[in-house]
Amino acid sequence: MKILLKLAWRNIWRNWRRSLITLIAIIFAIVLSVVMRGIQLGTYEFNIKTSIELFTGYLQLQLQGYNDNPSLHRTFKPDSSIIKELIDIPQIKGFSPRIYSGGLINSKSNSTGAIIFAIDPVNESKVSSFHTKIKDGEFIAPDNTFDIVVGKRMLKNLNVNIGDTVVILTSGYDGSMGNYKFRICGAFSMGYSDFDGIAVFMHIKGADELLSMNGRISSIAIALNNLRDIPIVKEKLNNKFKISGYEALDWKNLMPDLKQLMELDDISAVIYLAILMLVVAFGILNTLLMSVTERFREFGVLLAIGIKHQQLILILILEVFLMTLIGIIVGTGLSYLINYYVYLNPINLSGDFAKIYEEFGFIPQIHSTMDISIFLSTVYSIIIITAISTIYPAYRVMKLEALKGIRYT
Amino acid sequence: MFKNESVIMEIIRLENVSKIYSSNGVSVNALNDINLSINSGEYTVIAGPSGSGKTTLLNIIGTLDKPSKGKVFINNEDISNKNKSELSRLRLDKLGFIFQAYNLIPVLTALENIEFAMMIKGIKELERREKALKVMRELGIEELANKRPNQMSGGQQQRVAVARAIVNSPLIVLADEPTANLDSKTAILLLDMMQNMNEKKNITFVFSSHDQKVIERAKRLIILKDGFILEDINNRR
Ligand SMILES: Nc1ncnc2c1ncn2[C@@H]1O[C@H](COP(=O)(O)OP(=O)(O)OP(=O)(O)O)[C@@H](O)[C@H]1O
Ligand SMILES: [Mg+2]
Repeated sequence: MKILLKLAWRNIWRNWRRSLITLIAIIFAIVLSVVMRGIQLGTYEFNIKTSIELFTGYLQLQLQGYNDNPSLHRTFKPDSSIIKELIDIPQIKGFSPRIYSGGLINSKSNSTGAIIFAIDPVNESKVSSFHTKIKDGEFIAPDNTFDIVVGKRMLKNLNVNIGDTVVILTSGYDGSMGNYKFRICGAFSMGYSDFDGIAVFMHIKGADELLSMNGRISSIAIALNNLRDIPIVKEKLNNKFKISGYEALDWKNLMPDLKQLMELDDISAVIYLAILMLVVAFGILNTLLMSVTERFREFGVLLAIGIKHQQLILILILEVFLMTLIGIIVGTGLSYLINYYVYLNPINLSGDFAKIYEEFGFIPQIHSTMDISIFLSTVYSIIIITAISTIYPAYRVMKLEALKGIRYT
Repeated sequence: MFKNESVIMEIIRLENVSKIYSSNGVSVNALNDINLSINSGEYTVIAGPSGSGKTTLLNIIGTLDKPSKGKVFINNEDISNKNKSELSRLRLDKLGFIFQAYNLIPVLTALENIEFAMMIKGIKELERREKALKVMRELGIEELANKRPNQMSGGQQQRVAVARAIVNSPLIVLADEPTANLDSKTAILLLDMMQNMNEKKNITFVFSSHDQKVIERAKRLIILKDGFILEDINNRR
C-alpha cells in the first residue's frame, strides 16, 4: 500500500503540468460554485432578514384566510389568552398589533391611493425597524393619534410638507365611509420607490377610529431572537391557535413573490452548477485517460512482474484521490477567504445592476454567507464527479494485459 | 545436506504445447506440439529465425500467454487452471523477467525498482533493502542505487533490470532478446554478468535471441523453426 501511494504521488509529479490542469479544474469548480452559491444564498438571506426586520416581521398571527384575501371582515380582537401565550414563548422577542387597509389620501392640490399600515408606536419598534428609515421629521409619538408618516415620494406627489394636514378617505369595518384629517409628522425613504409613493404609516388608535374597528386588528407582528427559530415558533403557534381560527405566517407566506423568485433563481443556479460540474468532469476524465493510456506499457510491465489489476487501479484511484484532496483543500480555502471577505464587506451595486435588483425588490447589495452546507455540498459534488470520471480509465486499466515479449515477427 | 547446485530439479515442463494465433480469419501456428523441460541451473538460449516462435514460447513459459493446446507445469504444478490473480502471485514469487527495452518504472529509483516486487509482497523494509543492496553489490551497480531510469544509460538500466529479475531468488529468469537494444560492448558486459550469476548462484536463465554473442554462451541451445524444435543441444560448455 505504501509503495502504491508512493507510485501514485510520484506519478502526479511526473507530468506536473497535466496534474496542475486537473488540479486547477477542480479548484476552479469549487471556488466558482462556493462563491456563486455563497453570494446567492447570502444575498437572499440578507434580503429576507432586511425585509423581515424592516416591516414584515419574523412571523405574523392573523385570522385564517386573511393573507390570501385581506379584508376588514377578517380582522380580530386579540384576547388575553393570545397575549399571554406570546409572552410565554421564550424565542419571542416582542410583538405588536397592526391594522392594514387601503384608502385615498388628499392634499389641497392632489390626491393619491394609499396603503395604510397602522401600528402601535410603543411596541412596533420591538418588531420592526422601519422607523429608522425616517429621513425628515419624526416618527409617530405615542400620544399623537392622528399623526402619520408617509414616503418622501408621496410627499412630493401630494405637493405637501412635513407638518401639513391631509385627509384620508376610506370605508370602515361597518361599511361607513371614514373621513379624517391627519398631520404628516415625518417622511421615510425605504429605497423602493414604488413603496415610497404609496405607503402610509398611521397610529393604530387613529386607524381604529378611521376604520371603526372597535379594537379589531388585522395582524400581530412577532419578532424572534433568531431567524432559525421561525419554523419552531410557527409550528407552536399553529398548534395552539389553529382551532380558534388563527394562523401563523412566515416570510414565505407573507412575501410569496420573493419566495418564488428565489426558487426560480435557485433552479437556474443549480442547472448552471450542474453544467459546470459536467464540464469539469469531462476535463478530468480526459486528462486521466491520457495519463493512463500513456502508461499502458509501464502498467504492462508491472502486471508481468506480478502486480494485480486491482493494485493498478488502486494506484489510479490514489492519484485521483490525492489530486482531489489537494484541490479540495486549496479550493475550499480560497473560496472561504473570498466568501468571508464578501461576507464582511458587502459589495454595493450601482447602475444597471442596481436597477435590476431594485426591480425585484432587492436591496442592490451583494452579500455572502459562511453557511457550511455550501462547502459540504460542493465538496460532495466534486468527489462524486471525480469518482465518476475515474470509472472509465479504471475500466481500461482492468482490461490491460501483461507486457509480453515485444516483437512478433 | 546437498549443496544447492547439486540438486537438479525440473522447473518447467511443457507437454504437447501448441499455440495458434488467429486474426482476421488467418491462423498462424506459432508453436507446434512442443515438449520441453527445463531444469534448475540451466542457461538456455532459444534461437531461431524471426517468426519462429521464440517470443511465443517464452510468453507461455512465463504464464503471460496461454497455450492453445497442451499443458504447462511449473514446479510440477499444472498451471492451466489457475486464475489471473493466482498467476500474478506465481509470477511475483517464482519468475523473473528481463525485457528488451529494460522497462524499469520511471518514477522509481534503481534501488526502488529492484525492491518493487518485494514491496508488493510485503517484505519488511530492512530485509528487502538488504537483499537489494546485496544484489547490486554483486552486480557492481551500487552507485546507481538512487538514480532514476532517465539518469542511466541503456546498459545501466538493463543491469538494474537484471538485478530486479534475480533479487527475489526466482525459480527461473526469462529474457526476451535482452541484448537487442545494447551495443556489443555493453551486451558482453551484461552477458558476463548473467553467466556469472548462473555459475556462482545457480540461477536458471532462459533467453530468446538472434544475437550470436548470446548464442555462443548458451549451455543449452534450442533452435526453433516454424514453431517446431529443430534442435536441442545440451552441455555445450
Ligand atoms: N499476438 C499475435 N497475433 C497474431 N500473430 C502473432 C502474435 N504473436 C505472434 N504472432 C505470430 O506468431 C509467429 C511467431 O511469433 P514470435 O513473435 O513468437 O516469433 P519470434 O521468434 O519471437 O520472432 P522475432 O525473432 O522476430 O522476435 C509469427 O508468425 C507471428 O507473426
Ligand atoms: Mg520475439
